[in-house]
Amino acid sequence: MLVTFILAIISSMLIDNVVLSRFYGICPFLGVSKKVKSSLGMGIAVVFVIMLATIICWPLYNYVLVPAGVAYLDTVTYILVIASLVQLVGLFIKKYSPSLYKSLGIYLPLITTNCAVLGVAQGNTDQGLTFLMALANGLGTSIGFLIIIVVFSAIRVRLETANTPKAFKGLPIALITAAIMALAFMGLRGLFTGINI
Amino acid sequence: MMQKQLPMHSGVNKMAREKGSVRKNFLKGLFTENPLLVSILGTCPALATTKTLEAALGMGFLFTIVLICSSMLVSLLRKIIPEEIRTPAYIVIIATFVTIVKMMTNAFLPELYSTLGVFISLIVVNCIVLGRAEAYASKNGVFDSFIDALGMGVGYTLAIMLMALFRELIGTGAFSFGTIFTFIPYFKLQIIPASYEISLFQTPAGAFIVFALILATIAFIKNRKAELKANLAKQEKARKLAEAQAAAAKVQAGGSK
Amino acid sequence: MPNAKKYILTGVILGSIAAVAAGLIAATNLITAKKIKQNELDKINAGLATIYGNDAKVKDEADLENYEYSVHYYAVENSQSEFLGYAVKTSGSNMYGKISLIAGFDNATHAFMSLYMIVNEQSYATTLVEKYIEPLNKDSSKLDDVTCGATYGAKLVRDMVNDAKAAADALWSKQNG
Repeated sequence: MLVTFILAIISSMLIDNVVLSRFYGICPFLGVSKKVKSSLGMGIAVVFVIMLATIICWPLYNYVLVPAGVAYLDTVTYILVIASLVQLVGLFIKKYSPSLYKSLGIYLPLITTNCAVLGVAQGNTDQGLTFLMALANGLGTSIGFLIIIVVFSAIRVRLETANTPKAFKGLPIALITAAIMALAFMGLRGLFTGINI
Repeated sequence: MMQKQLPMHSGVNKMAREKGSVRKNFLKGLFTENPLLVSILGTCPALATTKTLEAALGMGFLFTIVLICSSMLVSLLRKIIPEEIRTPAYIVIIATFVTIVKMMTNAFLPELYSTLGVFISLIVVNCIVLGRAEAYASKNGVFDSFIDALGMGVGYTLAIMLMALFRELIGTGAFSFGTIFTFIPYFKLQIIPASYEISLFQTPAGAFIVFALILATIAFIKNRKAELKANLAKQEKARKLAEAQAAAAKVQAGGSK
Repeated sequence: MPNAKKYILTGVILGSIAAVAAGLIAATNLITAKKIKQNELDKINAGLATIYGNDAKVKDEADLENYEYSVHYYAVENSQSEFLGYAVKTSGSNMYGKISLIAGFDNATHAFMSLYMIVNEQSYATTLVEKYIEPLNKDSSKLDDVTCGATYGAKLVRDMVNDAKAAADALWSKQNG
């Protein structure tokens, strides 16, 4: 049981990586600040929001919406929950770390439109996962997102001073970098084929 | 000018104003303000659903419907919604239309529903829809919002179809139709022989590469245009300088006589 | 108190927008729910036709309880009312997504014939189909060859087929007294 849980985390973190394979969270990924520290802050905020969203939305769907027969209101409910959560997390950060709040700036309300958050919440119930698996999915996705954006912002810091062809400066070369990272992560696909569980 | 002359007949005003600007309003969504290629918004579905041309067309179609409906409703209600609850209200409106579109697709286009999967729901958090609602629909009339939304939707659809075109053509060598829109008979248009396909382009890495190359091409064209313009300006300046020098030399020659 | 009035007005407007939204969605649900059910039924019939042949139809069906994956079974007969076998519908998911399939068992041998995927939401769906499902449907002894590019999906399919076989065997022993 525990092994399945851990393997589920690792698979959504590395093998089926949220950004490079499932394509959630591309907008903040590309627009991420080129300072490693603020991407770290943003990533941690996203981890909080995704975990809270999973913990709230899964029971909300299975114990409120489905018994009431209104399972189709899931998308509306989730997005309202997420929007409120982002506000709350924002107030929390503002109170306890004003410097982080300032450096996050516009990126904090943008967590609401981060595909990863709604994608995880919706995906958990679309696939009919158990609560434990939903938590694993959320944890793996959010930590995977954190790892990717920190690594990527570190690379982009270097790219700023590199000798790039003029047409590729800025976004295109960042995308090519992402492509190379995606290729590298594709190699992790065969990671668990030998394990018998 | 016309508006000043006919202050009473606001209906005629509107018609006169709209003739030229409707076209401009629509076209800006396709070229100068293309949401995907210029504003770089809505990239998640653009990378994920562009494996085949049909899927991209389906995604763009659904996206355009949601964008048009929500922009028009937001514009209709713009005077009623109070300032403080603007964003939650817009989100509820957009989420409603997304749910309706999702259910209709599940019923009438089930293959499209299973191909796009969770990305239909993710139209809710597509930055373009919320962005147009806040930036345009909340400040303009219903017809203008409709034209704006139509332009943005068509522009987005064309942009993701462009990506899917390259990914499917180079990745599989053929275009296949009829798998999603099952009312057309299935046929496969093999353009490049299958043994020359580069299946990298069907993988996530390939999506990033195609997107990068399209953006780089656009940047290249823009840079060329800017360079040509700068060259022309430089030539103009040099010419003017030469003229001024010639005139000054003439005056000097005339004065010294 | 103008402030209170403002809050009440805000609340009322938001509430009414939400109510209208819920109403619209409920109305759409009424229209589409039947069509969605019909689509599912068509898919089942298409699946049975793939496994047993084009003149297969459902003689009777019922839900199954107490199985890990098997949820429903169909007793399949052909147009001459010959009993062809049991087809069991299974549904399950792993960390990569949901799978729902029909596994067909032959009446004569009680053996697994082939399966039909209804829902395949695995992340590596095409790999699973190409490397495991298609070879399996051609040769049903390849059930345990799960190492392909989508091993987790293949393992789930294998477990579902085994579970379906247990259900089908139970149905046959009940039928035979």
